[in-house]
Amino acid sequence: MSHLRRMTGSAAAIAAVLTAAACAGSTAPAQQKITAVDPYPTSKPDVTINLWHGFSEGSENDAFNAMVASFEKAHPNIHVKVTGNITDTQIQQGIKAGGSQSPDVAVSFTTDDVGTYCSTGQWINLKQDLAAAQIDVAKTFPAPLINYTQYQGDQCALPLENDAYGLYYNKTFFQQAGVTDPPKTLSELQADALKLTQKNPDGSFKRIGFFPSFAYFEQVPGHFTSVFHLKWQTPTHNSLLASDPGFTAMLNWQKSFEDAILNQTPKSTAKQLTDFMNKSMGAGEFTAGQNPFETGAVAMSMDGEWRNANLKAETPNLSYGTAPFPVQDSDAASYGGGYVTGTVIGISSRSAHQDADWELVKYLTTNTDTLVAFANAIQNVPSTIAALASPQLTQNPNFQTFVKVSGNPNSATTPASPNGGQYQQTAQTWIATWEAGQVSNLPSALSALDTQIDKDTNAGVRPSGS
Amino acid sequence: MATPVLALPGRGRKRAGLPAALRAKRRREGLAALGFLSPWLLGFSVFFAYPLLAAVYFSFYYYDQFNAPVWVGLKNWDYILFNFPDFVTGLQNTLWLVVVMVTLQTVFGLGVAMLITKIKRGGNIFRTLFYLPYLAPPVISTLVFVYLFDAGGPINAILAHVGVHNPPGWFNSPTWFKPSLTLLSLWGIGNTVVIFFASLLDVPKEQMEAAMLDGAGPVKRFRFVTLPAIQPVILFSVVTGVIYTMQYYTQAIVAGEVASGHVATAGTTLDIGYPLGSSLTVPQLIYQQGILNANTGPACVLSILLFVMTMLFTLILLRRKNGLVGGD
Amino acid sequence: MAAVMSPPVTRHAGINRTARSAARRRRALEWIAVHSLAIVAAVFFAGPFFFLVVTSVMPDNQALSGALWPSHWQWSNFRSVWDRAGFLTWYKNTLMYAIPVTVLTVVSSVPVAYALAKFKFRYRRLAMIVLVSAMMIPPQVTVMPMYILWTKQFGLGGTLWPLIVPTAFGDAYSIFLLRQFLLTVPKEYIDAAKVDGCGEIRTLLRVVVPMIRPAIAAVALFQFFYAWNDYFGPQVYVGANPGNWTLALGLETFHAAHHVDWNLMMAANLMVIAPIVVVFFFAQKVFVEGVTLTGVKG
Repeated sequence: MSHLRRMTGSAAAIAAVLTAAACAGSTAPAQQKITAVDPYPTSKPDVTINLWHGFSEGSENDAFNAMVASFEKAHPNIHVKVTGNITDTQIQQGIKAGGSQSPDVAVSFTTDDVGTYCSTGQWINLKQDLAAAQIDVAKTFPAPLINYTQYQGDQCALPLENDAYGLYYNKTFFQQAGVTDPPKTLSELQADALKLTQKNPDGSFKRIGFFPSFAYFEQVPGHFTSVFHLKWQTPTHNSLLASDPGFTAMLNWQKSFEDAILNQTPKSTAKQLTDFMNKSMGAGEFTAGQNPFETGAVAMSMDGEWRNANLKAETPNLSYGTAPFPVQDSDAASYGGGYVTGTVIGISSRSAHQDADWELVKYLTTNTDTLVAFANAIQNVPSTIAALASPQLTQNPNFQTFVKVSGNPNSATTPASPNGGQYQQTAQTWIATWEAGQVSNLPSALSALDTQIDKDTNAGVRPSGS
Repeated sequence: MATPVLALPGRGRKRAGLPAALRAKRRREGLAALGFLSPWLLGFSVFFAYPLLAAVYFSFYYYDQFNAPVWVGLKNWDYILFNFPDFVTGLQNTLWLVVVMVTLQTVFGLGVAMLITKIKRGGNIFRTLFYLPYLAPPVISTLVFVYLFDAGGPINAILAHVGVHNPPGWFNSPTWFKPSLTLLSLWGIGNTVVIFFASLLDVPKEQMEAAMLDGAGPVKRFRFVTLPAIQPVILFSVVTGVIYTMQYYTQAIVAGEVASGHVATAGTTLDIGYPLGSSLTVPQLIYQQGILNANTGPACVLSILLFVMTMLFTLILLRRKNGLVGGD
Repeated sequence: MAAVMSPPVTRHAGINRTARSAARRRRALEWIAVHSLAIVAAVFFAGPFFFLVVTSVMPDNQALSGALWPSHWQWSNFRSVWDRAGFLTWYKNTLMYAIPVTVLTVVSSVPVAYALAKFKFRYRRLAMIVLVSAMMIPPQVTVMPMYILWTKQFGLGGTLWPLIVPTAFGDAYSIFLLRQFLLTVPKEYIDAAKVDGCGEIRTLLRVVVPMIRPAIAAVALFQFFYAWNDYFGPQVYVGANPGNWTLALGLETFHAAHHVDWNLMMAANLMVIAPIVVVFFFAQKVFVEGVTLTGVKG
């Protein structure tokens, strides 16, 4: 055998392996046709569904399992194997890997990824299933929730509980500082924050009224979408941060807020503020009893409705109130709304029994009794119109604040992108340089940021026309 | 590849002058060697050669690991090389680590090794003590260090006791992140110390005594006797240090994640590079692009670039003289 | 030294005494310097272990309060970690990963190392070049195609098989270490065995393997610890399947979404480090010899 022949031989072998790899995507996932209202009646053989979700805390797990148990009782031939504490990356890896271990139904905490699930076809479009079950989406779910569960007309997810954001304030500190009502506008927020801030003589912080930073736990730029009416993207997913006056307004608001806090006598340095924030945040957002709002390091903060549950469990003696987040002074009429997002659920296109999966998803997302019980247990806002109106829902005012935010027409969410939440991530990373004072020419920096986000989207999304 | 070529040892080139018996023995040995080597050669082809070639292949495709790959030409290369600032940040961080961390590791490792040669009593305990951190799983040592250097953690508490009330932000500061990592790497220096220690014991005693008789002080003795004797070991340690630094992954990603307070649990996106990109390294970008974002093409471009960078330094180890490979 | 240079004087005894006491003083100073440096270094190396242990028994609200000593020793932390969902599974998974990897590596690497060290054949140098390169290439270089191959072609995503199977084909670092050791084994022993009529495989098993036992022990230990500590491999392959998480993965996500209890985390860390420390104390010599042999950092 000649040297050359041997070479070609191995080259052919390699080519064969490469071709095999290239065909890796050919195990085409398919959507099963569903026409019946009840596509998997009890007469059908036993089946087991892999259900992956992100709940990790004991009480949340218990509440979720209770909901699943009530489903299994109603459908004795459908068994659900529940796996918790799962991230979105894991869900996507699991679906791609396929096989008997992979998730058939998945619960995601990140509405940002709905675009990815829909555009890649990892989750099936539920339109026909909804039609077969005679569920009118518009009459079942509040409008913003329908928005964040679909992508370019594909309803590939359904809402399972809703998260709304608002202002948490420490009533004891309010009383001490003589603040009577929660702020309704951003200038009121700033004025109150200054009253509530306490410094040492050297300018270092003892307590801050409000952290003027997007690096503070839940105060990420995306959560200000409703306050500044942020657009983020064109319908064809081109970034428009430079041309969106709201985005610039948001940045300038942060800067002037920070300056006001620093310049309040005794004057502080930016480092003193960063140090104080790092120290307060050090233990992590969810360390029991160590959240800055719980320790009293901060008097007001933006947070989700679920914080109520943490506060109740961890610092039951804390006297606090909740309110919708303040709005721009020029925009007082929009007060009452907030950022809304939520937990979503979808069916893997790799699943071999989508009829049974749909029974589960239908039950979890539309059964009023279990939804209300679940919402009460984990202190989330329920996700259907019927459940929101249920008298069984917790009437606690601090919780009702968020129920109202959730139903407010001024509430908004971040747009779905085929590249997931990466555009927000990139913006947030850039904002850290803005906060560090490293940006000299804002308009050109924002254009550069737009270009980068578009480049990332272009590299991360399937080329069009293929 | 190497497989078929190895199958016929001694062929091709004329082996004039070798007696027939010796030639037969050579052939027998060659065949036996092939027998012993073949599983590994198969493994190498499947687990190294194939993925290297496949990475080149995928670098020209868009592939989301779900739908079929789409040919995109040089798009991924253009993106990574010219339109992906994170890659530049990753290279800059790696350069910093290579210059500062590898240097300090070498100096500190040598220092501790020399210290050990001086300690007669209790040396055993000391040796165990400095070697143990090396054995600690990187995830654990990183978690411990992030905890120690946390704003409310023990180190700052101790610093406050001694009057430092304005400590750096450690793992939360873009300026101090890499220095903190460097401290972590110095803590786990045990292996380098053992290597240096062994080479220090091999420094010829006669030369040392001769230098002493000539009146050379400790500095001169180190400069003119010890250093030349252990110079190959130092070079070797630096080169492998550089190679491992280019692969720096676990400590950087775990420290960044835990310090940011946003550990990738359900509902959070993994934000690598915290704070402000200071913990970003090229291997993390491969993980981010290829596994997290399921964007195979750009990840494979990064893989190939990392391979090239690694091989540049590996070549030093492959030299005939003083290399790892030895002569023929 | 100084005495040699000084002019000859009559009172030799006195000079000698001064020189000797100067030397003694210098030696004493050096002793003090060396040992104070050693103490500083010891504190540096032991400090993190100290805080690891101390924090692991702190009550819940004390960790991260800057406390340096537990207000009371909460031994139940270890119990809590043990009872926490997952910990036992991670422990089991880590063993299920580390043990097969160790066994397979030893079995598959010894013959390769033997051939590379003791047989003369063309392209031996090439084989060594390939070996050293394979040793240096980071897993991130080959991970993408392998990940796709394992998960899509073989459907083994979410399992530890993609990390175990390759070790059945020899591990470059282990081969290298064994080969270095084999180079020190005199060829005469092997030749003698062959003269006695042993075939290659019998020679390997009966003569070579018993002689390289220390190196095999080192390889086994290094490989076991490698798997025990591995983070990247499990992160890629079983990251999506918590049921198969190993300790390295589990520990990091130990703070479940709503709790970062540093005291429990340190307790867990301690429970993972403890077996390593125990093994190390029993096998210290094996380690040090192994490291010195290759001069390569693992």
